[in-house]
Amino acid sequence: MIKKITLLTLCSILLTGCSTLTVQNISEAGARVSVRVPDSSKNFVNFIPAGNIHQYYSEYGGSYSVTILPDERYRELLNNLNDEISRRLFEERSTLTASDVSALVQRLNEVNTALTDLDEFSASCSGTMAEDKDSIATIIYDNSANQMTITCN
Amino acid sequence: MEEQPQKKGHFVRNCFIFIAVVLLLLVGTVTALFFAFQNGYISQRDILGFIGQLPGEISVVNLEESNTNLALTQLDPPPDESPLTDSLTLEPLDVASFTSIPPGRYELTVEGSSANYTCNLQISSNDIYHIFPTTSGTAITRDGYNPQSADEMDMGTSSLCKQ
Repeated sequence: MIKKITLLTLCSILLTGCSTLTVQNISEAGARVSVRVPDSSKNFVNFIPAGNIHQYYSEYGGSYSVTILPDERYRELLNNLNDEISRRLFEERSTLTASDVSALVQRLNEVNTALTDLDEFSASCSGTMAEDKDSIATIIYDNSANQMTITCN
Repeated sequence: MEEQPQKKGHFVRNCFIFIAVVLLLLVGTVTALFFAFQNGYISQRDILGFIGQLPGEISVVNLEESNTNLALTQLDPPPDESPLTDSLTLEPLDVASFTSIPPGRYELTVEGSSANYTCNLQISSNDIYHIFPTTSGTAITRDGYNPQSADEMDMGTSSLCKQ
C-alpha cells in the first residue's frame, strides 16, 4: 500500500511529456556518436553523415550526454565481435562446452565496457532534456585543435 | 486534579509539533526531489529503480553489414487497451534499445540479411535483454542469465524466446 502511494505521488509530481534530443553534424565529415538518454541504461550509437541530424527521444526527460567515438577503433571492435560470435556460436557450436558458452556471454557483456573505454578520451558534452522541449547537440570541426568537437545547449 | 488539563494541553501541543515536523519533512523531500528531477540530477528511471518498479529494456547491437529491422508487440495488454507496439531500424554497427517496456509478454521480430526470427519474450521488472544480429545469425542473452549451451544463445533455439 505504501509502495503504491509513493509511486502515485512520485508519478504525479514528476509527470512529464516527451523530450527530444537532436544531434546535428555540421562538420564536413561523418561522425560516430554515442548518446546516453535518461530512459536507457545503455548508450545508443549511430553514425551521422556530414550535414545530417539524428534524433533521440526520452519519455521522462533528464540528463543526457553525447560523445564522439573514434570511428575506426569502434568499427574494429564490433567487427571483431561479429567474427567471434559468428565463428564460435554459429560455426563451432557443436564443440562448445558450458565454460566456452560462459566465456562467450562474458565477451558480449564486455561490449558496453569497451564502448565506455572508447568514450574516455573523446570529445563529449552533456545537458538536460527538458519537458516538451527540444535539446540540441552540435558537432563541428575545430580547426585550431584539428579535431571534431561537440556542444550541448 | 489540576494537572489533567495541563497534561492534555501538552499532549495536543506535542501532536501539533509532530504533525508539523512530518509535514515539513514531506514538503522538503518532495521539493528536493522536484528540483533534483528538474535539474537532471535524478531521472524518473532512478526513482522507479529505488522503489523497485523499473521497466524492462531490450538493447540491440547490430553487427550485420546491412540494416536490421526489429518490431516489438505486447501479447498480453490490459483489458480494453491496445497492445503496445514499437519498432527500430538499425544501420550497420548501430546500437539502440527498446526502452521503458512495461512487464509482460512480448513478440519480438528480427529481420536481417542472415535470418529472420520471431521471439516470444517474458519481460519482468528491470529485465535487460541483449540482441546481437550478426552476419551468421542472431545471439540473445539477458542480464543475470547463465546459458549452458550454444542453443540457449541462438535466437532460433533459445528458451528465452519460448516464453
